[in-house]
This record gives sequence, C-alpha cells and structure tokens, in this order.
Amino acid sequence: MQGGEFTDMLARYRAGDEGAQSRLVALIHGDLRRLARRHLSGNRWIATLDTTALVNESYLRLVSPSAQHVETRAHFLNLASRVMRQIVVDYARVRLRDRKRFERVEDVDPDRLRAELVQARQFVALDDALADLARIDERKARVVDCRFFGGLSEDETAQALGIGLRTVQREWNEARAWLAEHMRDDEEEDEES
Amino acid sequence: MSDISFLVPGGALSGPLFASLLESDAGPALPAGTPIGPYRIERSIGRGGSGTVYRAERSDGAFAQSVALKVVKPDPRLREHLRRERAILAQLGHPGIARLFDGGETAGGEPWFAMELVKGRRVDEWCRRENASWRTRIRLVGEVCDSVQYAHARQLVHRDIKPSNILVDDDGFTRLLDFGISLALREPRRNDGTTAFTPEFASPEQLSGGEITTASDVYQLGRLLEVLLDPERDDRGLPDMPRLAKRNLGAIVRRATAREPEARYPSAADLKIDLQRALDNEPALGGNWDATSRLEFLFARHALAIVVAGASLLALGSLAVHYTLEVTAQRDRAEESAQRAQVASEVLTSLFRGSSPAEEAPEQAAAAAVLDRGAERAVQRLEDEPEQRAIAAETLGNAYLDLGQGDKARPLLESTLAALDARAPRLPHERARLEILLARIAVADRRLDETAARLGRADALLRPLVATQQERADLDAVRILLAEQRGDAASAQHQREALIARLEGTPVADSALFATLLNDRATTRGYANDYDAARADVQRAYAILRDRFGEMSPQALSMERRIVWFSLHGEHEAEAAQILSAQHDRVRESFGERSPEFAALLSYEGIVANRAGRKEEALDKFQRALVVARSVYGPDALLSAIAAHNVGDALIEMGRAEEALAIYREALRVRLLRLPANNQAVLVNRLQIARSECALGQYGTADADFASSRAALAARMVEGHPSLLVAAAFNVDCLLLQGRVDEAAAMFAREVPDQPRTKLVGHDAQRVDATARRLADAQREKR
Repeated sequence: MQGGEFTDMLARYRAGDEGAQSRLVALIHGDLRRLARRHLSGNRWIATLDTTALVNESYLRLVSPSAQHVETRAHFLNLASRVMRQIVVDYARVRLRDRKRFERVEDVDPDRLRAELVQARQFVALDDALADLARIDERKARVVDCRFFGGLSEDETAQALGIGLRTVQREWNEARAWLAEHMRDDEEEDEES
Repeated sequence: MSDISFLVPGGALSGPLFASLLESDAGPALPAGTPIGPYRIERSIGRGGSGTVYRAERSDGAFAQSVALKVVKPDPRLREHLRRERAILAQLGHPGIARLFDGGETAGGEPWFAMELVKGRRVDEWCRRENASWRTRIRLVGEVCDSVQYAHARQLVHRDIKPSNILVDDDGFTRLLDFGISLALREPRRNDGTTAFTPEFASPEQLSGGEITTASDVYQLGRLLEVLLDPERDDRGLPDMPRLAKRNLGAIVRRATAREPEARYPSAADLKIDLQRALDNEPALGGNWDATSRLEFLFARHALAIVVAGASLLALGSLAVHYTLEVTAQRDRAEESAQRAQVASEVLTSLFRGSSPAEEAPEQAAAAAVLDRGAERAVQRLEDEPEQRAIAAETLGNAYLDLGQGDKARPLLESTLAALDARAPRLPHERARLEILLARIAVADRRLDETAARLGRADALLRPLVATQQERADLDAVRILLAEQRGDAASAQHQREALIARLEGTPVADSALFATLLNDRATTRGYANDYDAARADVQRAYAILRDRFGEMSPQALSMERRIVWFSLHGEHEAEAAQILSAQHDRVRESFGERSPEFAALLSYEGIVANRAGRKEEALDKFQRALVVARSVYGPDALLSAIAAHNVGDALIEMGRAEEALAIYREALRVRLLRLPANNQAVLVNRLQIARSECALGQYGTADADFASSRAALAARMVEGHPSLLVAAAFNVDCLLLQGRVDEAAAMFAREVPDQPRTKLVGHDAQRVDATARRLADAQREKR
C-alpha cells in the first residue's frame, strides 16, 4: 500500500504536481521511522543500527513491487536522494533553531545533543554550499545528494543520474574538493534568538 | 579549507542527528499555511519527542490571535481524557499556567492543542543564561508550586512537570505548559526504545504503572528543585550557596521526592512553605533537625555575631553616637547584652520548639520556662554518662553565654560540675572547662570574687596536667575580662598584649577566641585614635573568622564591617565603600532583604551616604533598616531603637526636625525600657532630641535637655573626648539660633578649646569648624 501510494505520488510529482513532494517526504520519513522501530524491538539502542542499510531497505519497500521498471527505479532513487536531503537538512535547521530558541528541546543527554548540533551545523553548511555548487555544476551537487544524503552506492548513483560509474567517482572527488574550498564553517553563530 | 571529513558516502544517514530524527515521534513539520481547526500554521517553533509545536494564527477572522499549536501522535486515551476534562482545562486561569484555548483532531486523526503562546526560555536554560542565584531558582520553583497547587485544587494533575515544560517569560515569571494534555504523552515504552523517554522526572509510581495522584506532581516539583540547584548541570556553576541552605534544601528535596507518596509533602503548597522557610533561613519543616542544627539556623537568621561583635555599631548615624558607642563597646555593655538577651529568648524558644509541640510557647515570656525544661531534659538523658553530660552542658553553656544568657546556663553548669565532682573526680579537663565557663558567666554578672575563685580552681585543676593551649587561652581571656571589670584597663591591655603575643604562631591563633582578642585590641586602639593599627587588627580577625566560619558567616561579615568602621575613621573611605558594595549582593543573596544582616549592612551604607552628604540615600537606607529591625525584633527592641535613631540622624541633617524629634523620642522610649538613664546611648539620644527641639524653636526644653545630657556625658567620658566637643558645638549652634551670640561665644571658648579641637579629624572636624564659622558670622553681624 505504501509502495503503491509512493509510486502514485512519484508519478504525480513527475507530472509536475508540486504538492506531491511534501507527501513524498512524509511517506519516506514515516516509513523510515516504522522500519527503525521494527529493527529496534527489544532493547537495542538506535545508535547500534546501520541506518544507511535501513534507508536502503526503505527504498526497496517503497519502490517495489510496482516499480521494478528500470527507468522508474532510476527516477525513484534520484528523487529519494533529494527527499532525504530535504528531510535531513530541514531537521538539522529545526534542531539548530530549537537550540537557540529553547522553546522546546527534548530531555536528552547533553553530550549527545552537542554531537547532534555539530552534525546539524555541518549539514546546514553543506546544504548552503551545495546550492552554490549546483549553480556552477549541477551534476556534481547531485552526486553529493545521492552519495551523502541518499546513501546510494556508486552503481545506484550512476543509475539515478544516468551517468557512468567513472564519472560518479570523479565528480564525487571533485565535488568534495570544491566543497572543502568553499564550505563555510560557522562554528559560533550568534547565541541570541 | 573546511574540514570535510564528515563528507563520506551515507554520511547524512549515520550519527546522532539522523538517529534522533528517526526517534522523533513527530512527523515532518507541516508547511506554513496548513489549516488546523480555526488556525493556520505559520512555522514550527519546536519539536519534541511527543510532537511538533507551531506558531499559528487564528484564520477564521473571528479575532486575531497567535497561539502555540501542538500536534501530537494519535492516542485514544488522550482523546477520552480531553473529552472529560476540556471544560475544566479551559477554566484554568492562572497567570503561571499557559492557557489551553482549544483542541481537536487533524484530518489524519492527530490530536492538536492550541495553547497560549508564551515568549520565554525553558527554566533551566534561563537560569544558566541569567546565572541565576540559588534564591532566584528557589523563587521560580515556588512559583511553579503555586501554579500546580491551583490546578490540584481543581482536581487536575499535571503528570509531566520538568524543565522543558516550564518557561520563564520576559518579565521573569514562570509559565507551566501542557497542563492537562500530558496524560498520554511520554508514557514509558521501555521495550521499543524508539522514544527518547528519560525516566529522570518520572515518579516511582509513574515508572511502576501505579496510581497517579497529586503526590506525583509533588515528586516532580522536588526533582525540578534538585535539578535547578545541581551545580553539575550548570556549566557556569551555581553561584555560591551557604552550607546551611544546602542542607536545608537537601532535606526539602528528600522529603518531596520520597519513594512512598505518603511520605512526601502533602501538597505543593506545603512544599512552597518550606521553600519560603529556606529563603528565610528557617529550618525546613520537612527536615529532621537536632538542637544544634536549629541553633545554626537561628544564628544564620539573626546574624547573632552582629549582636555579639558589633551591635552597637548599628548606631553609628551621627558622630556623637559612634564615639560613645565605641566606649560602650569596651566598657559598658549594657545595651549590647540587653540585645543579646532578647535574641537569646528567641533562640531558646526555637531551640526546643518541636521537641514537644504541646510545650511550644512563642511568647518571649514563656521562653525561659521552655528553656529550663529543654535543658533539663537534655541533661537528664545523659545522667549516667558524666563525660558526655559534661560535653553537652559545656556546649549548651557556650551557646547560652554567646547569647548573653550566661545566668541561664548557670544551674545547668553548676549541677553538672557537682555531679562530676561526686561521681567522676577523674575528669579534670572537663571540670576545669566548666569552671572556666562559670567564671565567664560570673565576670559578665560582675560577681568578681566568684570569678577569681573559679579561675583559681580551674588553674589548680589544669596545673598538674598538660593543659591544651586552648584551655589556657580561655582561662587567660577570662582573666583579662576580670581585670577590665575591676577597672584596671592598663592591666587588661597589658595582659591582652601578652596573650596575643603568646598565642601567635600556635594553633589557637586561628581560633575565634584569638579573633575576639584582636577585635578587643582594635577597640582600644580606636579609642586611642590609632585607627590604622585598629584596622590591621580587625582585618586579621576577619581573615580568621572567614577561614573558620566561611565568608558568608555572620561572624565574618560583621567583622568585615568592623574593617569598614575603622576604614571610615582612618580616611580609607574608598576601601570602606568597596567592602560594603561587595557585601551588598552577597548578603542579600544569603540572608534576604528582610534579615538583620541586611539591615546592618543598610545602616552602614546609610552612614557612608550621610558622611558623603547623600542625605536622601542615607534616609532611605536607614528607613529600610528600621522596617527590618521592627519586623524581626519588634518595635520595642533595642535594635529597632538604634535603627530609629539613625533615621532621626538622617532627618535632622535634612532639616526635617519635626519628624526627627518624633522618631528620636520613640527611640528613647524603647531604650529606657531596658537601659539605665545614664547609659551613653540614652544620653546621645537625648542630645539629639535637644537638637531637634532647638531646630523647632522649643528653646526652653532644648536648653534643659542639652545641659543635662551633656553633663551626664561629660561624667562618663575622658575630658576633651571628640564626642564632648561635638556635643558642645551642637549646643552652641542652638544658642546662635536663639540669637544669644555672646553666650554662644563663651560656651565655644570654654567647651571647645583649641587644644583638643585641633586634634579632631574628618567628619568631626568639619562639624566643629562649621559651628565656628557660624559663630564668627554671627559675631560679625552683631558688630
């Protein structure tokens, strides 16, 4: 059912229905959490999970069985990696804002919270830099979406973007070099909200 | 170059951020504009384990309203709960509780709540950023207690009181969030690990699935208190908290967070009462305090050391007053010991209060009876343990003696000593110490022969033994007091110097006794106009008391103010002001604004302000000190009279003679209840009354009052004492007001001769010079 709705939404999205995107985000996010919870039954802590594998499992669940068609699969992976970037970066921004506003923050271990905030800052900085990179060289930015945010393998990335394997490897390395050059790390931003 | 080591395949999907994203029960944030009930989402303002909170705007056009809109995961029990309680929740109109306006379900079946939008920070974060003092933190928890009590009275239990549910708004007031909607939120689901549930704030019955009552909220309030006062949690560190307050609050937390609900405070209001007691340095009702602890609280509350070491210094409003009181401090301790007696009766009441509620007697008249029974009981219990009984009696005796109630301790000490003599003649140290204590009591009562006899017996007992240095020092200190009481000031001074010299470098040089010796020497040195040496003595005494009792102990604080006193006289005004301003915040923090400690400080600040000509400020400080003194000690207490006198001094400097006269008369009335008519404070009080009368044109009575008070003062003071010169100058001023210029000139020439006059310094010199100028002007005019 989930997979069916997903494929349906994917089709609407490709047909230009912008509203379908937020529904896709919700679907992927919801599916990921359901999956995570199932894996965590018992007393396993979330940190012990291979979350990349989890995300890949979710892709498989969502895209199958109705979308085994190669082209659909490529589109799916392409979209999924962008959706994951949106989910993760949105979440990172909310975390940073929460920290500043302190209108609500969960009761979590402060060390862990700090580690989360470090990641959140990195991801937001990366997101901004990727937007710049996309204006110069969109393909490189898309490779980063697939590899870093989507957790796709080199093969899957090649498939999703319709490029060769060697190109994926080269673009990934060049993108990293460019990002190292251009990414701003704003370690200390203003504390005031 | 940025560090991009995190930029690895799948990097976004590993690590704590993604884990918390997966853990979060909340779905992705709803986009702006999404309609929910009559509201429209503006943006997400927070996200927690239980849902997402948005800022939303009322969109049905009925009226403009911004709300905090919370969307949580579906839960049938929550739905049922809300259906039943919505009416009550809507009526929760307490300023400390964020209002719940509305609620419903989204199309997807998720419950939503529209709550009052509170601008603020969560309480723990607010405390950290503001570097809030422990008092402020307690005040905040007390406010939350009020809010919770309000809801409990309406049969509503919060169930989820914790820092993230309490905001401090821009005005510094707390707001409790999520009242009534926490029933189904954050239920422990320990098996699926996907909620970030922390049992940190859950009561034992919540964790075990037991019945949840208001007691559960009391538990959580206790946890809140504990967490806000935990210095480990605050990376800036919690501002210093007095040891006694720490113990008090520890007892409160233990009581509030008792495992069994019945063992906790019966209500949030009861918890609040104990929080207030902690702020007032009263032992928490929820604690289990022994007599010694009660005494400690009493000392903290009444700042007894002020009374012991510097009570008279409260009255330093005018220059005439301070000189006489300096003398008083040395020789005539009548006013001081009367104050001690008053505080003592309170000590005794509270010391034995609680041991038997039926005997509780708050009236001071009954205090003595309570004491006697209490002391009797304490000693009876140790009837068959002579050594322990001796220690108990000694401890109690010391306490009484410090309170100026030595005579009360006498029967106890004497009977203990007799019991020792009869049963345990082999305890010479104990017997010697009891003899020394009894000698101290005797010397204070001017029973000088008994003092000498007891000192002799103590000496005989100690002589064949290896007496400790402390024992010998105690004995010699009583000898010095004896010499003073016999009027042999030179011998007392000589013995004191010798004792100080002997104790230098020994462990006793760190004792309170040594500090007392230094302080007494400072008084003598001050009397001899050697203010710098006096200041050095009290600085050292202060260092000893600070190391011994702590910087915030009343003993140390009052000795630090002795430094102020001598600094003012030794023309070290800047240092004096600096000490006072450093004390100001600390004293207010530790004792509160309604404490005698703070009143003493205000008095000093008033004196400094008065000397600097800041009259309005001085008056304000003195008036505040008076309010505190009256509320703590009652209007008929000597400390209240002293504070009233200060107010009079400020008023008369401002030319408000009528008010000054009224308040001086009130001060005099109170003093005469307790002090002999020739006491120096009484005489100075009458002198100020004469000044006020003169300013009001009541010349007849003014002349008479000047004559009698000046004559009595002169009888008590060395010739040429600065106070006498200033008193004469006041009298001259009065004659000038009456146009009796020749008489004024004659009096000035006779009573303020050049020789002592040229020795006057500072403030005193200014006042006498001003009179001299007025006299010269009047004489010129007359010609």
